[in-house]
Amino acid sequence: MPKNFITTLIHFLNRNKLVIITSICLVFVPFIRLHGFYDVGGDDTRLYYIFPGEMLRNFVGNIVSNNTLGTNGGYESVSFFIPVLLIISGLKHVAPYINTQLLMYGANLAGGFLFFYLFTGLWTQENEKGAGVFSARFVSSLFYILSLFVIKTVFSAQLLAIYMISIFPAVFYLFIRAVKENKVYHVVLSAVVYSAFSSTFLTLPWFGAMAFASIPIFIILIKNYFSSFVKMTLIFFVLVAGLNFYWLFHQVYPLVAHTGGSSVIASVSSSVIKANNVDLIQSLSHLNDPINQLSAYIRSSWDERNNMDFAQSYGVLYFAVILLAGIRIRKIRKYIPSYVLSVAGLLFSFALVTPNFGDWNVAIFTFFNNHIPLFAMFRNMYDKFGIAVSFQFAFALCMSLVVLVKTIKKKHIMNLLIVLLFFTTIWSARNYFFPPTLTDDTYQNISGNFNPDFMNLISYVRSMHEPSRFAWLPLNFASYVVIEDKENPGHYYYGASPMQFLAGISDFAGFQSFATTADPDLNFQMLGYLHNGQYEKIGEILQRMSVKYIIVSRYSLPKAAYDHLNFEGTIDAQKPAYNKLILGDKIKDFGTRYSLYSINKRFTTDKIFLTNNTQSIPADIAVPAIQKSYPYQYDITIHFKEGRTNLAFLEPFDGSWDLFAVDSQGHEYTVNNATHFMIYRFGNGWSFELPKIVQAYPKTLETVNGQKQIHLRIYFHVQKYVQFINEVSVVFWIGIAGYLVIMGIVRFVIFRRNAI
Amino acid sequence: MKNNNFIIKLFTIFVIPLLLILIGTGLSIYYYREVSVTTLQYDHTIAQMQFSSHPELYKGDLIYGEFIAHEDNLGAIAVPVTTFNRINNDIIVFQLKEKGSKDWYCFNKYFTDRFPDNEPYPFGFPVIKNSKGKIYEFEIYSVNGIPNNAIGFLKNRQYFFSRYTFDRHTVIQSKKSILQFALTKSENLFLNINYLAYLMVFLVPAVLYLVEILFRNTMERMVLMRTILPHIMIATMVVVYVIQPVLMQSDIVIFLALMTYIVAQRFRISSSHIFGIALVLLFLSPLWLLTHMEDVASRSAIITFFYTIVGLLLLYNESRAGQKT
Repeated sequence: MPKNFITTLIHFLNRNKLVIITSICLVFVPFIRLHGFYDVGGDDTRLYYIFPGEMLRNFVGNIVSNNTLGTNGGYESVSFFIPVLLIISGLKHVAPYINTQLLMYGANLAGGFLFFYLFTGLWTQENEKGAGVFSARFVSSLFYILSLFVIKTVFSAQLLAIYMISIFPAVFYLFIRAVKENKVYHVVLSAVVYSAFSSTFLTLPWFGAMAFASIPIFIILIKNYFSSFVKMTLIFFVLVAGLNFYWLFHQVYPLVAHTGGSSVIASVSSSVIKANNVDLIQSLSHLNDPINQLSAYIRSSWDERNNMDFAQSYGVLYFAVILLAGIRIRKIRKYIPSYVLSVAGLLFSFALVTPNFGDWNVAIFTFFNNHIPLFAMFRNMYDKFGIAVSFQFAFALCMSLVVLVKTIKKKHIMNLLIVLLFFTTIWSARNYFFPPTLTDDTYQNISGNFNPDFMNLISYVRSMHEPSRFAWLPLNFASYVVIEDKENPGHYYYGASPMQFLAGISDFAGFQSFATTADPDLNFQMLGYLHNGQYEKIGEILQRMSVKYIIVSRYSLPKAAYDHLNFEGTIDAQKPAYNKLILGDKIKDFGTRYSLYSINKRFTTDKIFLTNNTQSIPADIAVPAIQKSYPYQYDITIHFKEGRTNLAFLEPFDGSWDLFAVDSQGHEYTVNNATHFMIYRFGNGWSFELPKIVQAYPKTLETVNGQKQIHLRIYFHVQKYVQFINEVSVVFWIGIAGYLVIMGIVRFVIFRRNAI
Repeated sequence: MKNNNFIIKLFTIFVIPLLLILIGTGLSIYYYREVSVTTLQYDHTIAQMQFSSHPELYKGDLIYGEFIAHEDNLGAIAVPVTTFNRINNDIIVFQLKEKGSKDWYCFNKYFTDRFPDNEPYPFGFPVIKNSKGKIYEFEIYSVNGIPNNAIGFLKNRQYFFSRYTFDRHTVIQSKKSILQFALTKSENLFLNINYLAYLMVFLVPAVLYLVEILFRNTMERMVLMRTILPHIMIATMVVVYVIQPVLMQSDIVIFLALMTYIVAQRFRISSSHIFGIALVLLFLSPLWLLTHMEDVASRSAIITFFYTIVGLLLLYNESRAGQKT
């Protein structure tokens, strides 16, 4: 490398050394607060930090069956997980002994701080060298990553949305640079950063909220750089669409093809969801008092009985700084536009995070909910708009501090103010750095290794290669499984079932798992049956869902956790009589914690069978030979018979499941005379006449040991597009990577020439 | 020609201000949330109530009150309660009877987890047709209240209201009944000092108009006109909105902000002044919390929010004006 480049780099590091040192320090913060444990559990498991490879291999590529965690899903792609899983896998390979979760949390804090700092530089560039402006940017960047708006929302929930802290400012910074400088390179980079690091689909409500609250910034960009803005926006959306085509397709396809399958986009846009949201919006508008937002405080749950009091209102200091800047800004007029747009963005986000500034506010939020496409995803707004407010608040704070730096001549006053803001920010984040020790909460941290009983259970279950489902006993209300840590007694994984990616089976852990499209209240019906002692009915439902095995789990949990699982007396109601009715023969014990049973023979069924009764599952079902080739393809062999045949396939009904006859060469023939219908208010049923199939396709009939038989294939036809859509995305990724590398080299050469 | 001028002058000086006053009064009634149009409300002082010794209402504590009904159709008693800015999972009982009667006329239980803070909570019951002149007594007690999980009745707000709800069809059945009720309602409203203060907010447009036409020529020269008067108008609106114990529709603040913007534009009040007022109100909000006046703190925060918007708009205008010059 040329000497000049090194000098420039050193100069850059010198100039920004405090920012870089702070960023490095921030990487270690999560290690202090979580003492090296993995903080896992909940609805999204967070086990991707421990088992990224297993999720990649066994889970995220499945678009149907074997694609849900302990629930009853149909056609639903979870492939948007892939980039994040690849990153975690990479980290695990590079540093196998480091807690990946804490490392990523730390990197997120550091990235958030750094990119927000860079973002503010776009609005204060000409004064970058001043110590006062630097302090303003530094303190506001710290406020952005440590405000209660993020600590009490995304940091608390720890969903993948937590990474919006660093991703949004990074994407926004690159995008604005692209618009201002009219350089495609930056917008390409911004699309790549967004697609690679944000886990896109899962974090869309948070990213969308941040973008929506930034409308004032977009307006100023449009006003000042119209053509560049339009160009860069188009490029950004085209690139994002291409890079994410592998999962976007699955969101759009059910809408276009009208398969009857579910799509999150469709459900968020449904009038039922919108109507239900209205009540929720009304109710949540009372969660926070208007003074909360102005005091940089947020109440994130009704469980917090006490609202903000006087002692917690020290956060008004931040907004006071903003108003003080408003009083003084006329002395430095060139900052008026950026001050106005930053404060406008802040006020707009205040009105969005909780619409509590009057009835008009609720009315507008409800209007947005009803009329803006996909706005319904923001229904629990305090959570979704949490980071957005933090971002806008920090931006307005930065611009205000810059105004004050420029207009207050007495430096010691400014220094005092900056120091005061710094310590106020650290003080308000104290519960993040040093979480209060709650004995009831400690159980959710684990070392990363499950107990040997559970590991033996998953090895055994994996070896069964069983297409039918498993259910846990007792079933709990939250549909969570409880797995004790290997090295730390009393520490548990407590969340959605990981059996899908660890053992390759579909399972039901609780009553919430059972709701289906046809029976959305089936979970509550089951609870009713349980409380009324109608155990037979529960057995029949398990049969309908093709549950063939029962995993008995024994654990003792802290009271708070047990109460959560036992909500509405769910576990207590599963009395010995229920267990006796449901359990069949014991297959194996796994230590003292788990036992595997087959289900009582009265409720035994199979995933695929022939039946004469399409209304309820009869006792005399005929189970053909089944081979589950892939989650999207099941091959069966049935004996030839005259008359009509009904075939039941107990995966959630979806019009995209097709039935084919297959000859000995493997050629597929569409069964034209088959009727596809929903069977048992859940699964897929086909009714057809085998003689007609044989008549149309004589090659499909074969005779083995004197028995005439025919091969059929159940195939999820969306799968045939998967390779193509993946290839489209791969082409985009490779093309863009190539572009970035070439442009990087060109930029380096130009930089070198200029340096010389 | 002279006649025409006279008519225009008459229209300008009398008709328009009168219209503005009428519109203001109409708006004040529209935004008034204390009671419905067909309900009359009378306040009663603390002398007629007995409270528990501590602010929170614990299990076994009793609040007792008695009063003489001013009208027929007694339908509710509204008692200001405080939740201490928290969710309280208690149940309270309200019961009422005519004094001397053996049995309680009504006995109702209320979950307190969604009680509004520092607002008179209306304990309703079937309307008592012939209530006028009779003495009624009521009791409020807690079923499960414990320290830190109970609503309360603050000593600085020891008053209550009796409300008389008239059937709409009875009121509008004849011209006489309409007129009679309108007079009673007007008397009920205009004898209420809180309502009168609240009404002042809606008279600002009329005042503004009168200032414009009566002092047009002197306005530029007079300090009073240029600075003090607009500030008085703004201060009146702010003080009434924030402090007056009147339940008003929350959207009234939009009217306030709009009026402030118009006044500021007309009298060339700078954005700095508006930001300054917002800053004072912001700092007052925590102080209201300290004195357990959460409702006032809340309104203070809302108007801070709106005044920041007004300040931004004025600043934007000033910036554009600066660019032009």
